[in-house]
Amino acid sequence: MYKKLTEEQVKKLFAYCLKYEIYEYDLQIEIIDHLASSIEDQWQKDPELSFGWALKNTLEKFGKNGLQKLERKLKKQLRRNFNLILWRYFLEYFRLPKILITAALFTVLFAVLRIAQNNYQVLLFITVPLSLFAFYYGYFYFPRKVDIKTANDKTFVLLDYLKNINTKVGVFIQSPFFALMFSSGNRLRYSNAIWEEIVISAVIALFLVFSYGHFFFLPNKIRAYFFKNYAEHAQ
Amino acid sequence: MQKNQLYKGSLSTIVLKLLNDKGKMYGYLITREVEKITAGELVITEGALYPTLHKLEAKGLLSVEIKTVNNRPRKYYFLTENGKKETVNLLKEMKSFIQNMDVLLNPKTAFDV
Repeated sequence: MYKKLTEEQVKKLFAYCLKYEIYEYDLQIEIIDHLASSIEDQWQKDPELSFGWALKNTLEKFGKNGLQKLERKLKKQLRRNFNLILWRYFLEYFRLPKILITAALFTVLFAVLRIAQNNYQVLLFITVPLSLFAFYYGYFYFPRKVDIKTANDKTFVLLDYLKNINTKVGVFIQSPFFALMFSSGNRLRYSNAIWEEIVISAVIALFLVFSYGHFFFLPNKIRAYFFKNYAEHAQ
Repeated sequence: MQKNQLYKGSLSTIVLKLLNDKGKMYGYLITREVEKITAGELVITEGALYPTLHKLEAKGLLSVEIKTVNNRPRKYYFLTENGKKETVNLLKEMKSFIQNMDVLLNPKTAFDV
C-alpha cells in the first residue's frame, strides 16, 4: 500500500493555489490532483520523502511561474471553447431547419424598414423593443433564471464567464440612445433604398441570432455543464 | 512535450488513442502513460495537455466525470461516441501520414528493387 496525501495535505495544496492567485475551484481541482498525483508517485519510489520536498520537486517540473502560466492557458482555452460553442450554434442558423428562423427574422425586419418612414420610426420599431427586452433580461430574467449562486465561498471560472454574459445587456439597453445620437442632425441620413434596407435587415437579423446564442444558448450550456459536474456547490 | 514541434500537432491524436485504449483517465495518468509507452522519449507538459483535453471536451469528443479520490476531487476524461468515431478517423489519417513521410524520407530508387 503506497502513501497517499492526507486531507490536511490536500488543504495545503488548495492554500498553495490561492497563494499563486489561482482562485477558481474548477481550475484548482485539476492542478491539485496533478500535484498530488506527482507527490504520491515520488512516494512510491521514496516513502520517506517529506511532503514539502516532494511538492518542491513537482513544482520544479512546472518551471518558473509554471502554475500561473497553466492557469492563464486554461482560461484562454475556456474562452476559445465558448467561442467555438457559440460559432457552432451560429452556423446552425444557416442550415435547415434553423435557416428558416433567420429568413423569417430578415423578412420581418425588412418589412419594418419598408414601412418606417424615417429614422425615428426605425428607432422606435427596433431599438426600443431591444432595449426593453435587455432591461427585463438584465434585471429580472438573468438573476432568477440564469445566474448560479454557490453554496460556499468557492468561485468558478465558469460562473465568472456566466456573469460576464449579463454585463453585455448594458449595450442593448442603451441602443435607442445610440441610435438617437446617430440619427440626429445629418450624421445618419434616412434612406428608403431597397438594397440599403436589405443590408441593414440582414445585419440586424444576424445580430439577433448571435445575441440569442450569447444570452440564452451559451448560458444554458454553461448551466448544464455546471450542474452536471459541480451540482453540490450550487445553492 | 519533447523539444521539437513534430509532436505538437499530434497531441490530440495521442490523447484520443490513449483514452480509446485505456478508457477513463485523468491528466497526470495520461502524462505518465505516454512517458511509459515511449520509454521517456516523449514528455507531455501540463501546459500542453490540459488545454488540449479541454478543447477536445468542448468539441464534444470527450466527456468528464469528477470523483473524490484520496481526499481530493479528480477529473476523469473518457471518449464520447463522437470521440470514438473521430479517433478512428484521426488514426487512419495519422497512419497514412506516417506512410507518406516514410516514402518521402526513404525514396526507393530503381537500384533498390
